Amino acid sequence: MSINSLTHYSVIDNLRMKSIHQAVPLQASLELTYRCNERCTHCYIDNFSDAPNKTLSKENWFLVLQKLRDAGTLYLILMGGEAMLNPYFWEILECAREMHFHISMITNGLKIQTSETAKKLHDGGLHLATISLYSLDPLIHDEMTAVQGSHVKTMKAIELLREQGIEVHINCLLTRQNIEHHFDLVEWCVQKKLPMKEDVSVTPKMNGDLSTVNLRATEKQLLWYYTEKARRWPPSIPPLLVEPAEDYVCNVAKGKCAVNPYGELLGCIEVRESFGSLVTEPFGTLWNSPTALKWRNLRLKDLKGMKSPTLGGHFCEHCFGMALHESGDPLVLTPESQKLASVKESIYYDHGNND
Amino acid sequence: MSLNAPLRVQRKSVPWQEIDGQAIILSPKTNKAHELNASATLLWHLMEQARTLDEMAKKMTDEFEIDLVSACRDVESILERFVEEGLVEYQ
Ligand SMILES: C[S@@+](CC[C@H](N)C(=O)[O-])C[C@H]1O[C@@H](n2cnc3c(N)ncnc32)[C@H](O)[C@@H]1O
Repeated sequence: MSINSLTHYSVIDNLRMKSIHQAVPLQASLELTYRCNERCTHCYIDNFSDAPNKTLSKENWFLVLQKLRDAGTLYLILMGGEAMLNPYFWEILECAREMHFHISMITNGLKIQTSETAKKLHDGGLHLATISLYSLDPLIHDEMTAVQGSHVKTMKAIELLREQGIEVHINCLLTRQNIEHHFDLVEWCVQKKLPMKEDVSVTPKMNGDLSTVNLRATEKQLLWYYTEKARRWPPSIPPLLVEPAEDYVCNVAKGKCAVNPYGELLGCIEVRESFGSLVTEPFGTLWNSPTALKWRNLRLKDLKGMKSPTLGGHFCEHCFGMALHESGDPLVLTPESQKLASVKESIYYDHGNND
Repeated sequence: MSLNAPLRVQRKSVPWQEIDGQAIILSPKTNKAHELNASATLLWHLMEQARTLDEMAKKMTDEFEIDLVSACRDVESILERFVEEGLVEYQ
C-alpha cells in the first residue's frame, strides 16, 4: 500500500498531463454571473447583466457541480462578473466544499470588506483568492476599473483574506494604461510574499467587439517591459517553446472547461462556443459532442500564416479562442500574437541564451 | 463513550478527486498533493465514515489478496501518514 507524496508540483504535473491526454476536465471555471460591481475598461464581458429567464436556480447550480465532480474536476474557479453577486453564492460555495473541490475565486474583492465576510469565505471552504489588482497607484487602478475608491477596497480585501489564512494571489492584466508602472507592483508583491501572475494578452469582448484590443500595450511598451523584466530577473527571459509545432496542444476542452452563468458548458473561458446545457444534458454527451471535439482536436501545426519552422513560431503562444474573435478563424495567426512572438524573440536574442 | 472503545478514524474535509481509480488528495495543512494507490484509495473511501482500524483491515482482506495481520500493519502505516499530513481525525 502506498501514498505517493511527491512534492505538490510533481503530483499535480502528472495529474495535469493525465487530464490533458485523457480529456478529464481537472479544472472548471464557473462564471456565476455576468453582473459586476466594476466596469473595467478592458473587460471582455460585453454586458454586465444576466438574462433573468436564463439564470440558474441554486438547485441547478448544485446539479452542475455534481456533474463536474463526477466528470473528474478537482479545481473549481469561481468567477464572473463578480462571483459574490450571484444571489446563491454562499450556498454554492458550501455545496462545492461538501463535494471536496479545491475552490478558488477570481475577484476584485469589493464585496470582502469585513473580517466576518473573510472568515465566512474561509469557513465556507475557499482555498485561494486571486485578486485582480492593476496598479499600486490608486489613480491608475481606479481608472482601469472605472470605479472610484476601488483600489482602497481591493487592498483592504487582500489584507482581510490573508488575516483569515486564505491564500492570496495577484492577477494583473497589463495594458497600455498600467504597464509602465508595473514594476512597483511587482516589488510590492515580492515584499508581501504575494505570488503574482501578469498577462499582456487583452482579449476582445465575448460578442466579438474589438474595442478592448485598442488597450493592448504597444510594441514599444512591450519591448521595454520584457527588457526590464529580463534585466531585473534573468530567469524570466522568454523561453523557446520546446514542443515541435505538430505536438503543441492547447488545453481547451481537454484538462479544463468552463460553465457560463446560464449553465452552458464551454471548452474554456476564452472559447465562448457553447457545447450545450449542462443542466439538461449529461456531461459526457456535451464533452464528446462534435463542437467539443472540433476544439479539442485543433493543432498548432494547422495554423495559417505561421512561417514555420522559423524561430518566431517557437515564441508564439497562440490562443484559438482569441483568434476566433479577432479573425473569425481559430487557426489564423493574429497580428497580436505575431507582435508578441517577435518581441519575445528579440529579447531572447538580446538577453537570453542565443548559442 | 467507554474508555475501552476502539478508536475510530474519519477523513477530514479536504479537497480530493479520483481519477483512474486513484485518489488524489490535497493537504491544506502541508500544501502537498498525495497520489494514493488502489488499496490506499479504498481506505480513503472507507473513512468517509468513522471506522476502526480492525474494520478497515478486515475490508482490505475482502478486497485484496492479503492476510489480516499484514492488512492491519498496512492500515496502521498508512494512517500514520494521513495523520502527519492532517488528512484524518481520530474520534
Ligand atoms: C472578467 S474578471 C472576473 C472576476 C472579477 N470580477 C475580477 O475583477 O477579478 C476575471 C479576470 O479576467 C481579466 N480580464 C478581464 N478582461 C480581460 C481581457 N479583455 N483580456 C484578458 N483578461 C481580462 C481580469 O483582469 C480578471 O483578472
